[in-house]
Amino acid sequence: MSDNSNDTGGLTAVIQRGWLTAGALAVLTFIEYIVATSVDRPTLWLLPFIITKGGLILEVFMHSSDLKTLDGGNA
Amino acid sequence: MRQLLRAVIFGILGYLVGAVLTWLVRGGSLGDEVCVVFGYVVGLVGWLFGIGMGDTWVREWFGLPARESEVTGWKRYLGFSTNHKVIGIQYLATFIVVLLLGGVAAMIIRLELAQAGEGILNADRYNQIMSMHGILMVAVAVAAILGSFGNYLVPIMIGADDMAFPRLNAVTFWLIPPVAIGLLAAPALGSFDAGWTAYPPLSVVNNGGQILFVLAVTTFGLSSILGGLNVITTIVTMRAPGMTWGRLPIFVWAAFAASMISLLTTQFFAASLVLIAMDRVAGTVFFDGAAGGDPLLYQHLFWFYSHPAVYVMVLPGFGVVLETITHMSRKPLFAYKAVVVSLLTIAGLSVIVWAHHMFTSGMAEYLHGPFMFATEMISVPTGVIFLSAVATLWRGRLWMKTPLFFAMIWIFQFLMGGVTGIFLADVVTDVSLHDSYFVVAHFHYTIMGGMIFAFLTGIFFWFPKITGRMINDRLGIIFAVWLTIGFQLTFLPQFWLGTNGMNRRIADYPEQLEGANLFSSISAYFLGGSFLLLVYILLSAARRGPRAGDNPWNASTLEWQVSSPPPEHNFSGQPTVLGHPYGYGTAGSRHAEFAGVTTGGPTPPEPTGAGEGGDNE
Amino acid sequence: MAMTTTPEAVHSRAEATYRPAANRLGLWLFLASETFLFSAFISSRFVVSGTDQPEHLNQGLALLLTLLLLWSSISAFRAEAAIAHDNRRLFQREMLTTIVLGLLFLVGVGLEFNEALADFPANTIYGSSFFMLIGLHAFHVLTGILALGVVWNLGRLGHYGSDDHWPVEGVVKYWHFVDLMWVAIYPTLYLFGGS
Repeated sequence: MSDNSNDTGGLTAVIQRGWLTAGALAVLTFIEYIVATSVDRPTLWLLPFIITKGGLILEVFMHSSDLKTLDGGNA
Repeated sequence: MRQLLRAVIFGILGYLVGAVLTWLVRGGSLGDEVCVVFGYVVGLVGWLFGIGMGDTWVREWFGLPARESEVTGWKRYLGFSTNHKVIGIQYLATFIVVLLLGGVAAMIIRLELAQAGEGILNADRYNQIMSMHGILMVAVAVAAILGSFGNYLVPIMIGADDMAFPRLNAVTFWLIPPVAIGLLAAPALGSFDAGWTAYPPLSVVNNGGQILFVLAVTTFGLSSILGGLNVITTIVTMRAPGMTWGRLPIFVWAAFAASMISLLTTQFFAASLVLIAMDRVAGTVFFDGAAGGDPLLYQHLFWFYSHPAVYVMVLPGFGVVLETITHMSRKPLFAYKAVVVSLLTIAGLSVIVWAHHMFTSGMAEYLHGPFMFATEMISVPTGVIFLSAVATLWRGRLWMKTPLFFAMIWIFQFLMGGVTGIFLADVVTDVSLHDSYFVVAHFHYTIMGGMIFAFLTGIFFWFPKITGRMINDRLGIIFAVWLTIGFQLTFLPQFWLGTNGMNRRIADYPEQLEGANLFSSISAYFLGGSFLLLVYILLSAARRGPRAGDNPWNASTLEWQVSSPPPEHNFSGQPTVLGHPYGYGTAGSRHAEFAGVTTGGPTPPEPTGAGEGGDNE
Repeated sequence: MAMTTTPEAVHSRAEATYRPAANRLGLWLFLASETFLFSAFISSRFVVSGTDQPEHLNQGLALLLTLLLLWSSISAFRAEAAIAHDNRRLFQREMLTTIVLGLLFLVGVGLEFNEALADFPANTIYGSSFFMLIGLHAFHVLTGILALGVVWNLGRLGHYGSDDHWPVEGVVKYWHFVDLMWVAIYPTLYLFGGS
């Protein structure tokens, strides 16, 4: 039920968005690791990272906006 | 039949393969719990493959066309049927049998408790029977209404032709027999005796039967999660045109709310049991205080499911009773919107009250207040539902047939359960009453009163629809009165026993409590006897009851607008919903019409006795 | 509304109209339910051992595992985008990449377990949580790999196209979900304990 952009140009754009997200996730994970190993009690410091990473995965990778319409909207 | 036979063979083979392979890898003995675990898991897979997943899903996974079975007649009920009505009846029959089995265990318990001291059972045996009674009845309470009426009626009530995932639905039902086999096979490994709650540390160190309990109940949890998922998806995506959320019959709303709870929280029960299994077989130490674990962790995880589970039991019961009351008092449901909001509020609140089961467990003191408050909060939406039932009856034209009889008895029973619950929600009184017979009496009023009585209401109300035949109303009312009197005589003395110091789950008690116990035991047999009458009523009505016609209760919701029993795909023309389901007494009110049916939709009629089933008061 | 609808016609129309919405919702509900399972185990870890963690944690291996999962996410994402745009070749290749990365992840977990057994066996409290959580996650990775394999094979046999690829969407969503759970499990076991 994909309704948007069926041309190959669309595919490149979509995949680019995927790579950008993955890049952001990698950077976030790296910073997360640095923070965790340099702070004494890092739990609260890490929560924003977890939430942001989770949000990115839900929104970009899992198309959570599906839920609004339960129809269409992948890739 | 062929499928069932294949499933049994594959199940046994699977068990042997799993157990023997584990034994070969690991040594030890074949009866070791690790072997049992792997045997059970592989056996379960074999069972599911044999019963029909192999013919459908697994073939499709490899790009082959599915083989749908073409069985008709009574053999459909013994096979992998994807028809929601067949599955509903499978659930109904299965859980009536389980209810009777649990009842037999209850009879044994009462026989033992008739006298102080050790009677027919020793203490170990008593604990095993008591645990078996508990888990069987909890299974009945969780799945009987949702599994049978939920499956049978929800699709018809919303104008759909089946559930959203018919095959998943079949799998959901066929996960139940392994549960029963697992529980009933437990004595082979030395039974389980930790109650249905299976608290560690006992459940980590007791006989091997406990591992079968853990496996079976986890399977049951899986079934209830998948069932909940299916019901919710069906209600959200498969409503007929015009069936807006505000026009859903109240039973559908109740099934929706209960399914939400069972979909989400059941995972916590699964998790707690998996941890028990890990502690038993994999050497982890979650519940071993000496190694740094915490037995209270189990209670938190367990009650995070098992308190909401109470609402998985009674919310569908609310739905059944309100449905029956509104149709049979010929009035629109009082405060429909408030009831819907209450059902959802209960579902929401149910996950923040669990620790009221743990006031005496030694958990952190600062948790007492909030959990007491949250628990008492829940009586507000419950009270709204209660008032709706009473106000719907108020000045209605009551049609005193068996279903309404049961529904009205339900109101009394649930009132008793609710009022006595206040003492248990309150920390101060609960500290004294905890684990006493007061608790036993209380939850029998709520669960048996709130759920089993609603289940019986539903059976008597929808029996004509499901079988196409009427139940003997006089016998039905005799049964209702007999059961109710037996129930009061059995459980009222237990409140007294509890406040006078009788502990639950113990085979023995002080001698001065003997009189009340003997009275309760004799009454329990009187109560149990009434179920023989139920079996007779149901069987005789199914065989020779008078024809019911399509709509013996002159009711307005969609299931009554099709033949009894409904046709294979429920509707011959696409139903379109036009208005509120309970338009009784409102001129020109119509719930639905059907495409291609010239008679148009049903107008909610006044009770004129037109239905073959009966006359009105 | 046609006046001559047969039951079969009503039935098949219902199938066609409701299927995609029902499948999506069903999967989302399943994932919501799974989230509760994971949160039960994650919260158990905090209840029994707070954020304590042992000295000998192989942080390098954990980072590598995280990276593997992330990489497999993007390949799964590309596979889904490819089939949605009818690019079958890319779809097949990326599915296979995802499966291989998943298998590598499992190998990594094996190494991790091997090391952990020596440092903090299951009969220590951190060990209990560690094996339980990583084991649960690895089990989901394994089922994900099996599902990916099924879909990959069906794709090879010529199933799916731009307007008919629900199984791809479903399995990829499940794969991302497993990744999502790792986002919570990784700090729970490796990072919250601090330096």
